[in-house]
Amino acid sequence: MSALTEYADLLRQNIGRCGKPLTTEVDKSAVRKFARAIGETNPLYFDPDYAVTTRFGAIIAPPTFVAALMSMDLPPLPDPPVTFTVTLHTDDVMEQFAPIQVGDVITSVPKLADAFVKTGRNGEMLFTTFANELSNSDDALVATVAWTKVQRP
Amino acid sequence: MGVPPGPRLDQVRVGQQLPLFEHTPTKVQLVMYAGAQDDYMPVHFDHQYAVEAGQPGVINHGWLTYAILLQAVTNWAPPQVADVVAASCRYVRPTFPGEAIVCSATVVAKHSEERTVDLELSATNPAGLETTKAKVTVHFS
Repeated sequence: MSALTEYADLLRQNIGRCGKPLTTEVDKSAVRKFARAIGETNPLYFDPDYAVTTRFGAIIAPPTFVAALMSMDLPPLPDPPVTFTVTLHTDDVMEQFAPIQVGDVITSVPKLADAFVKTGRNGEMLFTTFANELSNSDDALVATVAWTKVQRP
Repeated sequence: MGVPPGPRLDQVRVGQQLPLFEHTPTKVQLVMYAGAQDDYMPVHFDHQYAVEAGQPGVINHGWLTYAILLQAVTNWAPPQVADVVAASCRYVRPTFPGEAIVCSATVVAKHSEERTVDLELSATNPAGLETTKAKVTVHFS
């Protein structure tokens, strides 16, 4: 068993370990800036007078606004046995259970979700997946975001 | 800012291709996005840093590319008619400011009872290489 595989086993014993939560009050100007930055023009993201006439009743955030709400204060994990020279962000997976709206107070908690080693053309690579759970002030889960990083010695 | 119309669920068919969506991010947009997401990784604004990290220049944020891909779906079925309830995105190659991101989207499944539609998306760069793949599920209200 390689040092990296042993390290992945050690990481897996920490699955579920949480990092620090981040609480954000979603306000109109943050949503407007985000929507403009991604090139959106839908009035649901910008115009409160329009939004109030829709089924949402208030300005909503674009789906990927969850990226602006995620706590990146990751759980403390054991030190790796090797120095990584390459780190890549490979994917983002989200589920959204309710729209995120202006006025919501969202708390995000990052957790270690998985760790495993795969061997590719360039040797062993460590995959680490974190899951961020986003809940509102009623403690209802509004979204989850899982993302994976790949590291190579 | 007009309100986009949207399709009705009964008009959606499996195999249907959505209109291609194309967008070319600018360096200014990357700065706007960094501020909006609160992501200040230097590879997205510092040319020298990006070159030392092995890139030809600054790269777009993965989440910005993701947001652009999703617009292929939300320009067709905006939140006025459907919610994005699940989405996943895989970054195959980096994307760069000044290069067009061309997104195609195809309806791969339709669940009439649950009122959901599954789509598969793919983005290509000006060299014709696939940079990004996504799967999206929308729920028609």
